[in-house]
Amino acid sequence: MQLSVGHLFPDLMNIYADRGNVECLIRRSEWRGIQVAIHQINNEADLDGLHVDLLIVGGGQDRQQLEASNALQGAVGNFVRHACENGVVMLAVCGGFQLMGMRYVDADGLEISGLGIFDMETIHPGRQSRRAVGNIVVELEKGKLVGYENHGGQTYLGASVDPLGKVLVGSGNNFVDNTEGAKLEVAYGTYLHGSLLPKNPHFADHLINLACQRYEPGFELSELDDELEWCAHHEALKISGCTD
Amino acid sequence: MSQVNVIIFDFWGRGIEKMREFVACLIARLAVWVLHLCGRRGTAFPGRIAEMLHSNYLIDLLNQIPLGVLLVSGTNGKTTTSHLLAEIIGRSGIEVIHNASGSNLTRGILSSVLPHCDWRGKLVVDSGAIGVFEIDEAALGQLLPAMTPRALILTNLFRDQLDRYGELDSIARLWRSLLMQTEGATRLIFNADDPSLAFVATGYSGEKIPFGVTSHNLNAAEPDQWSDSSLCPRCSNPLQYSYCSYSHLGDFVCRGCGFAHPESSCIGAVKEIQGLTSSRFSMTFGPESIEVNLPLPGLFNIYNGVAASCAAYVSGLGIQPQRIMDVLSKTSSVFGRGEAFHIDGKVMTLLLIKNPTGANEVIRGLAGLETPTDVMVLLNDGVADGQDVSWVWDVEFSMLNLRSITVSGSRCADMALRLKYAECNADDLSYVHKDVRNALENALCRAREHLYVLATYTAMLEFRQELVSMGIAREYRK
Repeated sequence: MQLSVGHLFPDLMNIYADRGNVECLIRRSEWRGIQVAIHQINNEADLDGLHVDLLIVGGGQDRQQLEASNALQGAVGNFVRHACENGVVMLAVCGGFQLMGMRYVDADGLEISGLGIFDMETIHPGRQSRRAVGNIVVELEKGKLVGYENHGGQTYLGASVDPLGKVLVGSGNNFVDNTEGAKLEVAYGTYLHGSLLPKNPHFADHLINLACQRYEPGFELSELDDELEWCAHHEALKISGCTD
Repeated sequence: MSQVNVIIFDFWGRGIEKMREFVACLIARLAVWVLHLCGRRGTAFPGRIAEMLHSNYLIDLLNQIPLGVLLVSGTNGKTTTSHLLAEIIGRSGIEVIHNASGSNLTRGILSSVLPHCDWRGKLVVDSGAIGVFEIDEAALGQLLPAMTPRALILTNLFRDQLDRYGELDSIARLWRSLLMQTEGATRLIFNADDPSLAFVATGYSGEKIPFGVTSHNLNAAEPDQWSDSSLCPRCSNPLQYSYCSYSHLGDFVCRGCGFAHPESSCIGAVKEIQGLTSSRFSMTFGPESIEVNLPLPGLFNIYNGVAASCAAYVSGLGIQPQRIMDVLSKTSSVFGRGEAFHIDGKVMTLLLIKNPTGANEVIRGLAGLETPTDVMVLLNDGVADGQDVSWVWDVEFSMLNLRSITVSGSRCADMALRLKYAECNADDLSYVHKDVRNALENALCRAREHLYVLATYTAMLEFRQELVSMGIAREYRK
């Protein structure tokens, strides 16, 4: 099997190790004999006839985020929207997650329009306001996610989208409602980096499995030796004062 | 009557001020003494106490230094640059007050000045003394509007500890606004190869001295896509490079607004880089040219050498290029930054890694060695390291040609995971030891001749302390 992964704005949205997630998807697929081709997706990319199974986008600084949002108004935005409508798996992290909402109001009050994949909006209350910074633990339906969050924007979900999980330690989407991230069919958004996927192998495999199931419904990934992965996962839980 | 009142109040006010200086200094000195009795070395604590008792004390003291103050700030290279600068000036017969320990918040600077005060808390130094201090990027704002340094040296801006500093742009924004308020009497000496700093400098109206490094045979054509500053700091269009030395440092121009690399008045031309031991470069000062054999590792230390030389030469202290060449050629590495130790007939080099750019340069140096290397990595997540350990995923560990690797530190599990995904092909991968002494014994046992220890800031301090207790390293006092 061969998977095609689209990496959105690798040059703009890459602050703090978003490449760790991409590297994790590649390795965990290859270790099982699944080949992965990575396609960079930005204004310069030739998107004609490009097929992807999974889309991934990371976080960026305000200036880079504005550039990315401009690009999303054109061909790149159409490509992503079309992919999501066709059941392509998506992982959007931090700044990239914010761009997948309806709108983002930045620290200077400038309104940046989002792609509207998730029914949500994000407001940055200004440079002097408290940022959400620190280790974070999130409870999913099955298992937990560990990571680190660092964002000024406060995200509020609308009625037609579910949170990815419930915050056990940390802030998540905002300081108010204990929700973290967003989930709509096979599209996932989250504030967690750390990097997210290597330390949460169950979630990484969930994404890879969904992408594979586009070719073979009911496909099941083979087991890997994840001792180090779970060791790092449990260490992160311990740092946050959580148990499994 | 009113005049008498004013005089009385003024006298009373000054009396209180003197009293505060006296008390602040006395208690801080007591703290130094108590720490000493406990066998500890206080690099920040005494200053912290003095600061609590007298918030303007540091500014008062700095303003008393006869030849003024040279400040060094930036993401990487602060400690080495200020060390080299203090050495060049000190060897020229000028008394230098310097925070050599690398403790670079205002309290650390104050701790380094206090020993130069008398019992009343007044500064007692030569009439020709000067201050050389490294200062944390974010803490620069606590000094700059309140005082006018003789020179400000800015080394570079890379992504670093985003949990503490916020975005890279926010430091640049802070510095630019500080410089806009700073009096024109300060000389601004900055790395012109760094687009963010070149832009920061445009906000300053006083004297500017840009420096840079050319290394035509060593560099890549353009920065890789992961580098921090791919966009023009002025108009956000992509930058174009005619050459790049490392990360986003190089000769850049913006396709959009024409913002370009300012012409450097101090240029270091790289001749040779010898692995992680030394390098050779030349510099021209007016009619005179010097060639430096710098016994410090990597291209990043050439930048530090050039920054220090440039600052020493232009600061109006009458220092001759020949002197600069002599001092740099005989210098040794600073505390944990390429420091070498001898143990069990093997050599061990301790290399501080703080952020992706610095770590990648160290990795590049290791990858350039001819034989497979024995490496130990210590990853901590203390406040001074950055509590977010994500950054290790931006480090190219896959470049390493390893013989053995050992991992320790408070986040050793994260580090081991990073190495697993980098698919480092060591013959002997014995990973995780939480206990650092245990890890060291294990790593040394397997190392052939030379062990390279890469450590984050607090891990480096702990590790060095461990070496002191083992009798391998000496306590760092300066």
